Amino acid sequence: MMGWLLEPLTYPFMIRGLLAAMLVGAICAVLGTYVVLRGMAFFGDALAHAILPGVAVAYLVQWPLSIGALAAGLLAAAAIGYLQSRIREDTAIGIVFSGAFALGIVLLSMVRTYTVDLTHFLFGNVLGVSPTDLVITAILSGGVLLLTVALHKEFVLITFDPVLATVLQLPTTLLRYLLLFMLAITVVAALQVVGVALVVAMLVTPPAAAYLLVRRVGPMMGLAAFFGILSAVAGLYGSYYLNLPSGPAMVLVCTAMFLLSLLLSRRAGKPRRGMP
Amino acid sequence: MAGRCEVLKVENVTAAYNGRVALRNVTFTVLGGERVAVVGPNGAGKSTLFKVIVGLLPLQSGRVEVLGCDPRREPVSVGYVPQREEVDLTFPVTVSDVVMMGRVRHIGWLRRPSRRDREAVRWALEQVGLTELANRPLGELSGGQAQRAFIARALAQEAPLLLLDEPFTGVDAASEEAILQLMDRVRERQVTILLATHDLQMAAKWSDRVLLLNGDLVAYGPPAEILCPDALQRVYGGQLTLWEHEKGTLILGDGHCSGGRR
Repeated sequence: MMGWLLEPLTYPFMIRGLLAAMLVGAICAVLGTYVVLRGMAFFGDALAHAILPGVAVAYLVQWPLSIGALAAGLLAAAAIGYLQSRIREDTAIGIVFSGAFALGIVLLSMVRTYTVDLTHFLFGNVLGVSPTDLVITAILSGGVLLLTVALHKEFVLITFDPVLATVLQLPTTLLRYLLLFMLAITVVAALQVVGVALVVAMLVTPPAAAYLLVRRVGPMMGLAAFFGILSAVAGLYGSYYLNLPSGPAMVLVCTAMFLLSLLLSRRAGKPRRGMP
Repeated sequence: MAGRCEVLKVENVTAAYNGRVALRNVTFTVLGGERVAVVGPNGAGKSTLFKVIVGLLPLQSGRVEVLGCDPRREPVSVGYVPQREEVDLTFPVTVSDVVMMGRVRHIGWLRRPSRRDREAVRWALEQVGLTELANRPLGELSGGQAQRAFIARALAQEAPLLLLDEPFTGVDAASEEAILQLMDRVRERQVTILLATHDLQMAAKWSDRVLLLNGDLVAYGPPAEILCPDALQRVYGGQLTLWEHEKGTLILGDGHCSGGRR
């Protein structure tokens, strides 16, 4: 058993991949808790896709991809945040997301190795994490985690009851934008691990599983982070031994954990949503 | 009650709600520890008045002052319980988590609740009679209990001014009784209460002063003066049934109460 666990770790790229995946699993689940409670799943998905043009531009001018991704992510978050004051939120998201994604594909098509890069971008390439990538991922995750710990009670309040937050004169708009930016950073960190297409699963599935099992936000966040890390580890081992693509393997572990939670919560009799 | 200060000062306030002017040139003052019943038919601007005071709606003109400060600029604490809480009752929070939210400004940025905050929450829960349910998930409470939890949250703010918008709507008898009792108790702490209500009997019994609204301020004064057939008929028109009796006038109720909400 020990040998089975340790064997993959003889490869430095596996160690880097594992560390990156665990960081991403944790941070996605933590931010994802707000995403689930605020009903922002579509926003998270859109943000991931909207990052493409930034990556493409960075690629073309030979900058670190994460810088381009971060710039595009923050820009998209700001654009959606602004547009939702003029039109319905889901419409705003749809416009920004599809427009940016299309622009990204057009830009990427100018690159010679178009298909390979696009595949990595869409489905992640966790085994290709370089030492620099790992450091960047650690810094981004650490920053987001720190802000979450620092502003948790304020984030919970603007999520649960924006009216009270306004009455108490919290800077609600500022906090909302900050949350969007933190989400953008998380998505960028997650990109190399699971890819654009599956980021939303890492954001939403572990917190949703936790939501079914516990009754307070703090424990929900902690349990979600545990699920996220577990999925990252299990998914990566699965991909090593069963020769599966790693990103989808992690997501499938998340899905399995959600189904298990669903089963457990029905047995425990936690009241269902929408029931009096 | 000598030396009572002006807790709330509303001066020439005009405000719109959903693009319609709902308050016109309203001026009144409330003193510390007073209990004011805000009455008037549907659409009279009761909720708008409250939203303007706490800064949820912009003023078109006029001024609002709470303890001499503009509540929309400076963090003066006003406890506000809206007519219907638009919150997700399945949100994973316990009753005491909800009440603790009222302490967010007291706790301050980057800090965790102190012993003082936990005591304020415990006191507030005791006032509304929910001490035993403190650790229950919010979603497991009845409508009346949830309403009491939101009132406890406003109390936990330790605000000098409390605005309750129709707190008895859809509330069971036990909760109504609990809310009435707590309003008596917080009075000892010199908390000023504005209560918007359809229940004219309660307004008459409970309040020190009645504010009769109908877009503009129709009358403001002691219940015996305000809740007279003349003024009420002027505001409610045919919606009110008055029974002239040899011993006095019996008000049979504001039509909106028995008729239900639109």
